[in-house]
Amino acid sequence: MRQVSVLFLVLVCLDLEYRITSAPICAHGDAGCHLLSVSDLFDRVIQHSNRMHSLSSDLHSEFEKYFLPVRNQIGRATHKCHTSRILTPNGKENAQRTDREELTQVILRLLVSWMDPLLQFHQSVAHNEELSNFSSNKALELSDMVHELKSGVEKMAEKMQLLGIISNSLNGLFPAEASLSSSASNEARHMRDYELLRCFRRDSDKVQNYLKILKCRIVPEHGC
Amino acid sequence: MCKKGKHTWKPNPQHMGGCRWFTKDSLVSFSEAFSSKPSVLEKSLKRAERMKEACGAKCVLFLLFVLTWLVENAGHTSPGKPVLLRCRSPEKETFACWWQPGSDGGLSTNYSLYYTMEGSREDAVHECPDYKTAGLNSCYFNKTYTSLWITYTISVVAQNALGNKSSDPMFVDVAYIVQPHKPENISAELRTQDQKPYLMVKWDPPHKADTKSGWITLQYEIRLKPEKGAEWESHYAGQQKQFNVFSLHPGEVYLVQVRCKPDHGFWSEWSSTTYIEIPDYFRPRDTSVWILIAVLLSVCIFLILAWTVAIKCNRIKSYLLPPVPGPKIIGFDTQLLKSGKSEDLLNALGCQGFPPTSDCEDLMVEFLEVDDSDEQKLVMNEGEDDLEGRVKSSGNDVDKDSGRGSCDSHTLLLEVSNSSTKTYAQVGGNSNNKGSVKLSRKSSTNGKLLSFETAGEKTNTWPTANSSFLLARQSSCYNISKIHREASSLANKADMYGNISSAQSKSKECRELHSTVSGDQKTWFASKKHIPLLPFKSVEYVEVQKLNQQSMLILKPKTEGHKSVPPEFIGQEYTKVSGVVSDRVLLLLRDTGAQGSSNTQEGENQAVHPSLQCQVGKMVGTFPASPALEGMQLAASGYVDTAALLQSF
Repeated sequence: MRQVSVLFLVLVCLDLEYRITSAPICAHGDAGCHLLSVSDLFDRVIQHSNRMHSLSSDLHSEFEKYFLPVRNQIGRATHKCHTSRILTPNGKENAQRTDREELTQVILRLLVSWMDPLLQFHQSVAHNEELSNFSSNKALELSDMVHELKSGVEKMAEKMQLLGIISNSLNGLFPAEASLSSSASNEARHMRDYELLRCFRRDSDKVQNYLKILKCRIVPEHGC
Repeated sequence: MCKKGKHTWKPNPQHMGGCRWFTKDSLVSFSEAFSSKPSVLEKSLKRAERMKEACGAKCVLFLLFVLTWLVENAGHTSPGKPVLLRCRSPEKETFACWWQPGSDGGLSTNYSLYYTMEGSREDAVHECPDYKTAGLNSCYFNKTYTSLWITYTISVVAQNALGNKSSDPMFVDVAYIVQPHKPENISAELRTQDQKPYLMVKWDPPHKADTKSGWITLQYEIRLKPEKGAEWESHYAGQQKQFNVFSLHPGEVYLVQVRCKPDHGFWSEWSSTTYIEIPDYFRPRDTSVWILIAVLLSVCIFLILAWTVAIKCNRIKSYLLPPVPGPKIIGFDTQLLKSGKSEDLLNALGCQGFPPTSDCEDLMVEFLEVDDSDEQKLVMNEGEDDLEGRVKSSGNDVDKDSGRGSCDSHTLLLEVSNSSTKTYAQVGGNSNNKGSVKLSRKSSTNGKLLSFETAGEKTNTWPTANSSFLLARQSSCYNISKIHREASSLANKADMYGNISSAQSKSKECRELHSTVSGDQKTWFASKKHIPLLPFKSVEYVEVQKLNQQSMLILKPKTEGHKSVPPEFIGQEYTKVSGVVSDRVLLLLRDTGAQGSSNTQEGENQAVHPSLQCQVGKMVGTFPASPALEGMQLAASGYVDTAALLQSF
């Protein structure tokens, strides 16, 4: 009995340790306190998107070596990106003119539309014997990242809605995105791998940029 | 001479430098010819010139025509292919492209840039909106014309009279061609932390790059070097706008530069140099310098000490570790004994003159008489002869013999000379029958020292209480035994009574002398052979009777009534025997008064101690044996009747 109780104690302690996660700095409902946590969320999300973008750049340059020996021909877009339908601000003024909700929505749309195509991309890379394992691992990581980033941005959007930073009009757009993604994914199947990567690299850059703009608009204290 | 045309002019004497124009007709001065008045010549010249002009113009025209024809045939070509060098955007809002023109083909060529945008129709070709802003051979796209995340297809066309040429297209996405301007407002400030200087460098991003809104995020890199250094030291500063540099050399002027880069783009140029001087900070060196000095000093001191110790090693040793004194008799110095100076030895021991000195008025005994009586007898045995000697000791006789030396010592030399055993014994007697008897003996074979003193209260110990007093081990030892005895006790002195008994050794050659002293303080050891002790009572004289043919000394005891000198001995002189050497030679003191006569001796033996005779109560030193010495030598404290000796010879 004694041993069992000791074991139990030990387990509880261990369990307690595992519970020590990075909790937000403040859990109560002060305005200042909430802003801090949004800032943390923003930082995390931006970090994530940075990583995603750098990963996509690496993959893209790797594919360039394999498929296109002549440099700078990749700019020639034979196919449009399937996300070209999504209207995105393409300049600073445009982006600053866009309101927060729309910007957040654009981000989410982009992320959603890439979830399936990246999965397919990974599958095609995995089957391709010419490509190294490193590439296929990266592709898998990329598709995981998109999922994570999308969920992160969603949480952040919810938080902001809670705090009243953005209005609640966001919820209405989500169903529309689902239909968008399915049609887009159909198109994406026809794209070649490196074109797909090119499109994704651009879109990840957009996401990153919009997130930063959002952050410096909402929580301008740190690093803006 | 002046010449113009056909006409020859002569210098005009009236006009310096002028010429006269002589014609056939008349002499006309040059000056007149150049005067305002037109002359015939002038007119003719003009005519010629006109003709020439008319001809030259045509020629020129003709020439020109020929030239142009030639030029045309040499090669006008269409322009060479221009090359697009690069397109750059400083702030991700505008961008510009530069190209390099090819050969112009000799004709004026103009360049034009055309671009298409992705997503628009293929034929929607636009031309560069601005050729000027970015400089020569450039095209500048302002904000209106710049769209991000869209691929531009740009190409340059060179055109001249003969043709045009288009460059290779370049695909540009503005988001990826960002190269910002240099960072601005670089300030370097010197600060100290824990007495160590460090440099805090601050800067601002280029004013055109909008980092405030998050549109661009820049990363910075700083580099610095000393003014006279060769290489730059680079530090990556991340996204912060200040940086601390710690690795500084005091007393130098540093150059600081900063550059920046967007997330994915190109590095800017290095900013303008900022100079900062680091003053000399002695404090960081302080402690290390002092530590160094302390270490050096301690090393020097240690070296000096070691050197001193090495030099004065022995002295220090003796100071720190004094030599352990050996066993020592109080007042007795072994060194003195070894050196053979009996006087010093005896002095050290406290004996005051073993051979009794002259100031001892009580000294009466001069001779040592050996009795044959049982009580006091020293039987002299000679191994081979039948000599008998008697040693008498007389106690209270006053010795007035001048020849006896200043001290009325009645020492008799006992000497055993042998090759192997040499034992010397001296007996010093005291007058008044209270003379102290001293027996000193040294056996060189076994190193025994038997000494005693009767003076004072000191008692002597036999250093060796070994077996035999006199030991003659070897053959042919020649003993001269002495009898010395003072049975009397001095007033304040401890007496030692010694019985010297000689034992007849079985070997004919050796004689053993045993003596025992019975007295208050000590007892001498008895010989092994249990020789009966013969106590002495009085001092007796011993006279050397003769020297027999076997080179033996015959001692004849003097009668008790020593005052009655036997007639045959009248006129005899007594000398002291110093030693017997090699069975043949009796060493006698030449000068009885002499105290310092010494025999020259060889070997290991040391000099005869001079003053034995005069010392009462002193230990008699040893008389070392000397090698064979011819003749007679005189030594201290042995009285030998020279007459007898001489007679025997």
